[in-house]
Amino acid sequence: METNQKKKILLVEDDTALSEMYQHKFTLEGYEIMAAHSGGEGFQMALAHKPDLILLDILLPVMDGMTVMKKLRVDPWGKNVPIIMLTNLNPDDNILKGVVEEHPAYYLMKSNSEPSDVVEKVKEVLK
Amino acid sequence: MMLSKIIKLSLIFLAYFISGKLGLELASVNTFSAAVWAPAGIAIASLILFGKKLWPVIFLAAFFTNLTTTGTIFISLGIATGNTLEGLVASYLITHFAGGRSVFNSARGILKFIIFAGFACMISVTWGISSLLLGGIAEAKNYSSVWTTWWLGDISGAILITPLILFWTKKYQYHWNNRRLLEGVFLLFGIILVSGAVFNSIFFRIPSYLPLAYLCIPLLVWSSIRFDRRETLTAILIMAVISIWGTTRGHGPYSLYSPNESLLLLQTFLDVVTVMILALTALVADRKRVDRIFQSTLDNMSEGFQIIGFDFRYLYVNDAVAKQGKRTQDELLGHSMMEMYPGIEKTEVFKYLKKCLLERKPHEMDNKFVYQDGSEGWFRIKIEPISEGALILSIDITREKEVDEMKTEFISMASHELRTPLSAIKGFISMINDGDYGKVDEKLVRPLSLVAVSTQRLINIVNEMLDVSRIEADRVKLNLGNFYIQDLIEEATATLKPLIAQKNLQLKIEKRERLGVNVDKEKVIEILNNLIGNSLKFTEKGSITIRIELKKEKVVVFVADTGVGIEKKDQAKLFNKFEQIKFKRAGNVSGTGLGLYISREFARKMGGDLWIEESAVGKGSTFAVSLTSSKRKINKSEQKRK
Repeated sequence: METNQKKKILLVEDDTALSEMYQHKFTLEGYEIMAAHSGGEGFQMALAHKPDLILLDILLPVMDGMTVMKKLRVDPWGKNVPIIMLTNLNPDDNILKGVVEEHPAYYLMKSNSEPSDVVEKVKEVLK
Repeated sequence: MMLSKIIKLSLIFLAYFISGKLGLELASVNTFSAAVWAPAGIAIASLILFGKKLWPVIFLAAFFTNLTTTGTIFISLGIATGNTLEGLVASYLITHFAGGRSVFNSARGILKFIIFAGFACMISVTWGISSLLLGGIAEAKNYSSVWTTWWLGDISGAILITPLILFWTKKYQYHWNNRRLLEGVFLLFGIILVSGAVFNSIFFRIPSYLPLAYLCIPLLVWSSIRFDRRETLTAILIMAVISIWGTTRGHGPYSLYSPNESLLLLQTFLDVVTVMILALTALVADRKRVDRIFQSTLDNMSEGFQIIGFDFRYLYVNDAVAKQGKRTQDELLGHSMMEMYPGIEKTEVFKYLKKCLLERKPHEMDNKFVYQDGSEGWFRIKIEPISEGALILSIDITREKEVDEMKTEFISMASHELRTPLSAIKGFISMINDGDYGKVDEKLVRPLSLVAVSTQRLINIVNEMLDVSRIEADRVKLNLGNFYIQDLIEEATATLKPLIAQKNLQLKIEKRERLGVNVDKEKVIEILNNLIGNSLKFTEKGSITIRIELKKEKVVVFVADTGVGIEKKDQAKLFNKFEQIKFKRAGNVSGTGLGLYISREFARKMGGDLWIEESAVGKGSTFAVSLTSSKRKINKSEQKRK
């Protein structure tokens, strides 16, 4: 817990219930968590606050998660920030084509993962 | 109506009368025994066309023709009766036993016509000559020669004139254009020139002793192939008129004998030529009809049908191909594919076409086609080797693909929309249970765990529906890798172990050396979860045993339980979608009935299979899944791969 206290996480999730749930969980786990509710907002917050990790939904208003990631990957800071795609789309959906190949990132299915699983993944990535 | 009928009857009367008078003009052995008797054909054709009620017109025409020739009422009545009987008998037999108007459409019909007409002419001739004998005009000693001349004249008239009238009154299907008209003029000129020269010594003189009558035949064959039967029979008529005229004037190869014999020989020649050409025209017309049927069938097909030669030229394209390729049939025919669609040689279709032309191998594929204007279309293509090259069938499936795409996108979005609130419910319950919101009241523990189970069931249903839609749209994608089957079993059983323990069941995993498999890890875990989960659902006491065997190139995992078992009649139904067999002893068991169907499809997609190894009611079941074996040593990074 001690080592995690300074870690900043940006959560980009438009569903209020899920956003609140993850915020609560990560706060309890000792992380500093910021929430954005659209892709555009998420992109701006990422560049402004430079979090240690971004939890990014894919289907988002204004700008979808894939676009946010592509835009971040061309930014000098953004190209290295760990991103975990949190979504309910299947890995072989068209929209997700090339996530892993083109823009290295982690991928979690929300319906298959409990909040504690997401925390585990974050810990693993930030190790 | 009445007026047109009177005109029609008058025309038949006049045609009979005039041609009869002309025929009798040529009679030499006897006033009534014409070597060329066109009225026979007029009578038979008219009676076929308008029915037997027409007989009085024929009778009157025949009567006046003879009366104006001899002036004897009795003899004229006798001959007219014979002529009328001839027409009636022939038309009756042809109408009832040889197809009526269609009698000349086949070689068989033509043969029947000759037999029936020949028989009818015998009646007429015998009746007529008997009248002459009774009237004292003919002598009994000439009976045989008069009979032969008369019969030959009648049958010749029937053979030449009947088809001519039938085809001239038939619906005309031939399409004329300027080129055809020019060709027709040449043909007409050729017939007049050749028959005039050969039989009539007009244009240029050919000595009579040269037997060159056959020179007319090539022209008639040309006409049969290129024109309708109407034109060909008219050509024969023109040739007949010129040759009869010439022969009576003492010209041509048949003029070397007595006038009567000359005409009889000529008539025999004309009959043989007419029958031969009639048979040829029947064959040509039949061929053209079949061609028309195929052409219109192929052009009305929505599927593209094309034949490509070994040099990649379009040998045949139907209308649909032209439309699909945004070209016309005339533009494509005879041209090469590369010429018509530059860059086509880089396409998949071309690659398989080439393979088909060289190796004679068929191929089927779905292919996207980009037009010159940039628009796109999808086609299902079937390439088959044929003797001329290759046959390509193409079906436009652009709309099908669009709908398919829309359906998959819809299911994908719908499942996403369903999964989002379910994820929230699942997450919150898990956090509540974990004590993230403070200590949980004792009374809420049980209801909360039930909500968690129900939520997971709902998530499973959504996942299964999505799997089925992927399987059916053939969109299952495999992420193959090498893994040890023991590790996959371990991972699959990890989540189920607490539930197995809860039911006091034993889980036995038989030990053996580690075996590698080349599979999609997630899919195998889903299959194993499904099989072990099923055993767990239907087993109340005893054990669940997992056994691994190496069979040829496959690693087979057996999942055996000591549960309720499945009746023989139900076993085949198990793999049907939404099939839930009712088990009395297992009570009400939840599930969509999609699990086994999905598992088997996934196993097959990975090159394996899934089946019931054995099952007995009350004793338990054993399911087996085969997976592709991996002989390669599996390194650590691969084992960790997600």
